Amino acid sequence: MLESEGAHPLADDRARGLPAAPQTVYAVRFAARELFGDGDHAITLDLWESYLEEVG
Amino acid sequence: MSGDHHSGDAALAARTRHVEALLEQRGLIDPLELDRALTAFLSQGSPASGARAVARAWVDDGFRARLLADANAALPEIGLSMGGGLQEQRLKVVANTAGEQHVLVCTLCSCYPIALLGPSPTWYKSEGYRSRVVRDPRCVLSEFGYDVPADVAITVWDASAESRYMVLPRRPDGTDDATEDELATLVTRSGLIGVAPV
Repeated sequence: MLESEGAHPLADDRARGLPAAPQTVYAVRFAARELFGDGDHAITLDLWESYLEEVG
Repeated sequence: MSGDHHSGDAALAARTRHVEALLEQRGLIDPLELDRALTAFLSQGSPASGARAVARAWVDDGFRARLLADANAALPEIGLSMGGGLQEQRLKVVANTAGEQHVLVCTLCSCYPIALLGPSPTWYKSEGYRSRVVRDPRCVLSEFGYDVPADVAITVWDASAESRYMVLPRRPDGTDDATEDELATLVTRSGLIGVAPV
């Protein structure tokens, strides 16, 4: 988890005209190996809080 | 998002024009106001704006730190901004270092900080770029003519939400005597996206 990017309404909901309360968006960094199984680079994605699951 | 983009784009453009015409007919928008807004939005946006921010960051460590911490707040210091659209987008500037090269993409569509940098290059919007740069950035950069050394790590930033990104390239060697204006001319759009060293 790199940083919080502030709160934004979920784009999927907003695009469909559904009520979309702002939720925190996080910049999350992944190793390419974690996502694809190979690669030596890193990828950072901007993920809405509702995309994330609590672990443990 | 696969398939023939040309017919898709043309259909979408036609629908947009139709909606625009309806809104005008019903007096909900003033065409002159629309043109003014579009002109304002596009007039400031160009790679030269990004280049100015980079050149200033190269000569002024304080500005560099502020640009990296909060680009939206720092840009107005040099007369730039991410505003002009419906809503000012958050800009994050990521700095290349001796050990790390950043490269930007929007895999979902092709989001780009157009308010600051103007329209994105056609290749940036291509499925080839969007699908391959997350998967094998070293190979893609090599195809752009930029062979990133093996000891330099690559970080791909996918603009998958509301933030937009820009790369702060490293200042080239041998530029100690260059003026800020001269430094700005060294910065390319490709460098700001991360597919070139500067």
